[in-house]
Amino acid sequence: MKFNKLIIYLSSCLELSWIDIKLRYARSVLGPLWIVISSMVLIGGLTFVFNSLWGMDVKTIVPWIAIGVIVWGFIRTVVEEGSQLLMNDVFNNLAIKPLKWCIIHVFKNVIILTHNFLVIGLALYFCDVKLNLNAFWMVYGVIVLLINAMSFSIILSFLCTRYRDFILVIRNGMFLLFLITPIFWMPDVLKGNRAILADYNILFQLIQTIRDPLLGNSLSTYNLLFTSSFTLFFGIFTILIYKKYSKKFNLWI
Amino acid sequence: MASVIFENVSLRIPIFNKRLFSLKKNINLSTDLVGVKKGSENGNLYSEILSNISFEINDNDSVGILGHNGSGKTTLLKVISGIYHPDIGNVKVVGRISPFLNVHSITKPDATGYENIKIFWLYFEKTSELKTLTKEVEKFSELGEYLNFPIKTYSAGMLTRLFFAILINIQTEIVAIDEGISTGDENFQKKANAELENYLGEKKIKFFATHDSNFAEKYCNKIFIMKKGTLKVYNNVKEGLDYFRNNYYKDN
Repeated sequence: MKFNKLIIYLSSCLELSWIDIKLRYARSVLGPLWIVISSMVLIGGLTFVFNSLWGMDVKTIVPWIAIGVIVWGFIRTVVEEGSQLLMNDVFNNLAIKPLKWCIIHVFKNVIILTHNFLVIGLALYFCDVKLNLNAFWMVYGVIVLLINAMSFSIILSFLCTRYRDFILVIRNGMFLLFLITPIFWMPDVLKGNRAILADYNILFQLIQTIRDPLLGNSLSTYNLLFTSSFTLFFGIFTILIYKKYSKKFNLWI
Repeated sequence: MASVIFENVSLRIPIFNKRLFSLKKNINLSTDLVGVKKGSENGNLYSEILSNISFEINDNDSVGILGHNGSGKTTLLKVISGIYHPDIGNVKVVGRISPFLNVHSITKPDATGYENIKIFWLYFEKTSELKTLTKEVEKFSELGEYLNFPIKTYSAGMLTRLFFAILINIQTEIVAIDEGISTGDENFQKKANAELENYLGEKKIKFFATHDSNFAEKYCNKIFIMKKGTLKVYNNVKEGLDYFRNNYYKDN
């Protein structure tokens, strides 16, 4: 019975996010195809730069860049749009739980991500990457990514509603993170101390949970331990924060 | 059984705007019109919109809330509807209540009338079928073909028809209505009023925020008079209205 209710709840959230996406592209000719086009352009541009500047092999870097950029795009929109998610008049006029709003927001980005998987599929196909059984590790990656997306959007939306400076911090910080995280470049160029940019970087580790399985590698023990413990602790922290502030935040808007 | 119980409820809205901190100097600045109390707590200013409110309302009560602009009528309804959760005091609401006062904020201007009905249904309605709600709204709003148009093409009156039709068809035991229904042409107004009586008949508890003392006299059996965030309950309608009509604006 309880499980049934959860399904109904989640399906209504999914439907609402679907309506949102449909409306967003309702008046454009190409519609959701724009999601695919814009990722392809970005991936193409980065590949061109890497290939012509450093002569890196196209067939190795395209799948790496494609998966990295697309998963990064998901994280970026979850965080950036998430930071302004709750600054909405809705919460002063309707008794909507912020949780529902956050779930809709994450679902919307998941729908965009699934569109982008088409690009990943093309990249893997044309670069002759063969999927193997390790690809099933991706299930773990997707689950961890989703839980973290929820946690990040709840925490950041509360934080930014209360302290407005963080919106600007996030907007500026995300670009820096894009540059310093091994998303479109390989982490093996990091020497010595600088390896912490990859090792202790949760964004990189989250991207790896999707990228490694698709490239045919299994997840390293380090990655599994790091991502699962981060997800667990961050999730518990989120639940505590949510319980404390979910009834108060609309006085801050 | 439905009931609404408030015990010493105060609602404070914090003000974080740094520029306004000079307000601290005149903490007791209050005018005749908007008389909310100001104060500071942990270094932040707050404005006390509701102060120390207590009442108990049970089945078959119909409450008229009267008061000047800024006395806290709408905010009180928002607390009852579960939009605001005050830190101070206890609020206990038993029974389903309509979760909104103002329905404009979740509508999508580019979506059609039908799509907006669906959006509402997905957000709130868990007791009836979408088809039933759509049919009722179609019948009541009389918008016909227009429901296939994006609602940004609607006039204010047409929007009211749509929203009122949705509001009235959402099933609840407690209802809170802010400032009555004021737009819509004469024909719709008549229908709305007739329907309102019908609709309200099914509800166990009703709250109306209004400036119209005649309306309160007709529909209510309890009167709340609010002044600068405080509330006085009159169980005798005549007594409350006499005070409101004759002395309310005089003694400040």
